[in-house]
Amino acid sequence: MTVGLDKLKHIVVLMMENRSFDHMLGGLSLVTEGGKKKYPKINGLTGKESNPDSDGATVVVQPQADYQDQLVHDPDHHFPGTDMQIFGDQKGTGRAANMQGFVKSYFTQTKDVKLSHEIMNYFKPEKLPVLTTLATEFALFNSWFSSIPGPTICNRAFSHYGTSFGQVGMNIFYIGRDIGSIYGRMIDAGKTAKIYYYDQQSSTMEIVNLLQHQPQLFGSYSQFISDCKTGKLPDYSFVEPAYNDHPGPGGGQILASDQHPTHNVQEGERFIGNVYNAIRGNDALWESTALLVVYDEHGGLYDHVVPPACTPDGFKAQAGDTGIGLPFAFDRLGVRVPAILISPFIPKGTVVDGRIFEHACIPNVVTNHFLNGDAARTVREKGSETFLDLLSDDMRDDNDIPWFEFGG
Amino acid sequence: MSKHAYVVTVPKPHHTAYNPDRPISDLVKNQILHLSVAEQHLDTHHRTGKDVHSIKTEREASEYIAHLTSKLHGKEKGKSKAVKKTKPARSKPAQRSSKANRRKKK
Repeated sequence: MTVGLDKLKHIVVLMMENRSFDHMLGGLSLVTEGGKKKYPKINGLTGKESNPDSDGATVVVQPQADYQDQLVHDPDHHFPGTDMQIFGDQKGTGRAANMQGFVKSYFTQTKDVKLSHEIMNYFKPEKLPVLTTLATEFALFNSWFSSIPGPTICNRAFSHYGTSFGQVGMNIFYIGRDIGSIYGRMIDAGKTAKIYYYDQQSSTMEIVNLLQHQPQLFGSYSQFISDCKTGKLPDYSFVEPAYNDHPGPGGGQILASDQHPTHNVQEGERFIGNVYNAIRGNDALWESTALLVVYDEHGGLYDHVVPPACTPDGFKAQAGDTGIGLPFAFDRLGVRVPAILISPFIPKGTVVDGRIFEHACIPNVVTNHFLNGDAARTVREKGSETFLDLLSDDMRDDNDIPWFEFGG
Repeated sequence: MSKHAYVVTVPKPHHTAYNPDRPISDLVKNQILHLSVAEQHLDTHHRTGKDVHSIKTEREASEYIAHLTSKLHGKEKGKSKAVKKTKPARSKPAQRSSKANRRKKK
């Protein structure tokens, strides 16, 4: 066991919304220094990736992503839309994924060829100082995929339960199932766990199954900040951003910080930085915590990596539920998303390559670390990758660790 | 002056970024649908009677979400009168603690 793993007392997961790896971090592969690639290990963009548009023209990726309202329509990320993005025009069985259907999929919403090209936009790294700093200072996963080629709720379910219980959409489900949430597993074993939602106006996406039946699992973001300061953070914490713009107390304004299109991406940057600073600001907590920043799914935005196959979880979605005329056996992953593991025990510039991660890894890691793997769970979760081996023996010098300050 | 040697400055969104009248996304639509299912399990006097399909903007959604969350989460918080007395306001501590999400109205 490494020193970093031996010291680990807290795992914190911050799950953001609906952005693909290439859209947010693909531009890092194009950064040069002294005529050479500055980050050669990162599997980002070459600048030549393309998709055909609905007129047959080639649309190449462009560094023109903007913070807000650029994507006038929320890009389709439901199962049929994502299927089209991954497989292009191919239908039926025996298809080969090619990531060639993003522009055409977006055109079905925009009905405007020029607007449909915006799905290929990516951020210049300097526009995302928080995410790119964390990605290049700590451990960036080259191959972390959403668990399902589909929308938010079923993907978030994998981070809570290691499965979506056969769901590929946004439906309410899984009450009374045998497999418990990671929070229930922890509490049953005498450990501590909490889901921190931003505030009551924003709340959580885990309503019917957890908030309704186990409200004691929940806290607000203000409590998260307080728990970090006072050293009362639970063994496992899951943090949710603000999901809507709403009035704040005293005439203030709360901006959505989830980065879901078309919410402001800069506000999400500030939220990620704030969560990081809350942990980093308490020396004892910083030394004993691993923070994972990850996105639930790609939000319909372009990524060039074909999602790989995975171990089925024993469930099957019927053709009528997938909306593509084919059943789905949960045997392949969704589109790649940004994921970064942060700890002072992670060497600067770590890039995790050659290993496949998805959201079922989260309850797997937490169950293995805190509960010695002792819990009822799916074969898929049990067999998923773990990431705590990234914590080394050496704690980095404080002067080598970033701190975020929020400018005007 | 920061006590930290390695500081990264994070800019603030433009003052026009705030838009509570934005139409709700499919995600928020589903969130309020889920809440409306949970609402049916609340005591009658805690229910809003709101037709959630009439909710169109993020401001309207946030009002409904806050009401239901306070009732659902309040079931647990209500067990401690001390907590209820000392923390009556919604998310005020978050405003003090989180500069990232605090902005004044122009």
